[in-house]
Amino acid sequence: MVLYFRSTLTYVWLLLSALTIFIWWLGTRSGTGSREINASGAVVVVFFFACVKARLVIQKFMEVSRAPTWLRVTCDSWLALTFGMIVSFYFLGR
Amino acid sequence: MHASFPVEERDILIPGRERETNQQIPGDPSIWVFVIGEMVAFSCYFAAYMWDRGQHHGLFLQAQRDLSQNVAALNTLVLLASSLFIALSVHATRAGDFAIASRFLTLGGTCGAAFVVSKAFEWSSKLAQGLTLGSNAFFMHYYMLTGVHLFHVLLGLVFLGILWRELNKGSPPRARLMEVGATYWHMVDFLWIIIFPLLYLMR
Repeated sequence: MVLYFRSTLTYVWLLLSALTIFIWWLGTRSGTGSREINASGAVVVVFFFACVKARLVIQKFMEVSRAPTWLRVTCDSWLALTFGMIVSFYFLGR
Repeated sequence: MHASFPVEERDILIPGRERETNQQIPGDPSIWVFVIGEMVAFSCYFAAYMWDRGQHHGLFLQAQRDLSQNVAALNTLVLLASSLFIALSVHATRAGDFAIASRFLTLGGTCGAAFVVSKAFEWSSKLAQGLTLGSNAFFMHYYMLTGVHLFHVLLGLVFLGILWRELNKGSPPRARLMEVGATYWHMVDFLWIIIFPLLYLMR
């Protein structure tokens, strides 16, 4: 069973977990206190890396990296549109 | 040994053989129609949330302080671990290690169940504070988004149960069924990856 962990999937999971902790750290320290991290800048960075994480899950765990072009393009387009929509609404609503 | 089972050849997982060919849809086209539909539906929900957030900016910032970012981050790590286990389960199935695949599936399902229990505690804590669906616009979205996602997690756990039976039925599992179940589970994971910063971290 341990042998199966010697796989690219494990490294992808480690990267996903590290990005989650980074996003949590950045998100919880933005927009609060006197030494605050710029909230709007943090939102862009947080959502950029959230979309990177979602793409890693789609490409590596769901194996879309080996799927037909139309499926890869559809998934990447969704991620790009979701990122653009969230960030645009965020700046429009401030 | 596997040839003795009356299973369609395309559905049999040959031990040690990975899905090598490029340009192949993971699982089945029908699950991708469903996944893409869910992606569009959740995008519409994200847009509705962002629109309302723009209308009630101060309220959303204030209400968000009642949520626990730490627990939500832990939930995300738990779901990511479950996705790893499910992906490893598919790999073990392809290698013909059905017993190990079943163990990975159990671990993945346990992580999924832990997520459900954690969400139940989170909801009960908010309800005890008097924060309900009707409290304000933020909590309406909070309960709707986490609720719809939780429903998908519960459906995913049912799917994992079907896969567990498939792995333990005594004959080679169907490749497509394993991949379809895994695809659904990973979808639940990546949707939460977006919901987590949207509800809990955005300032």
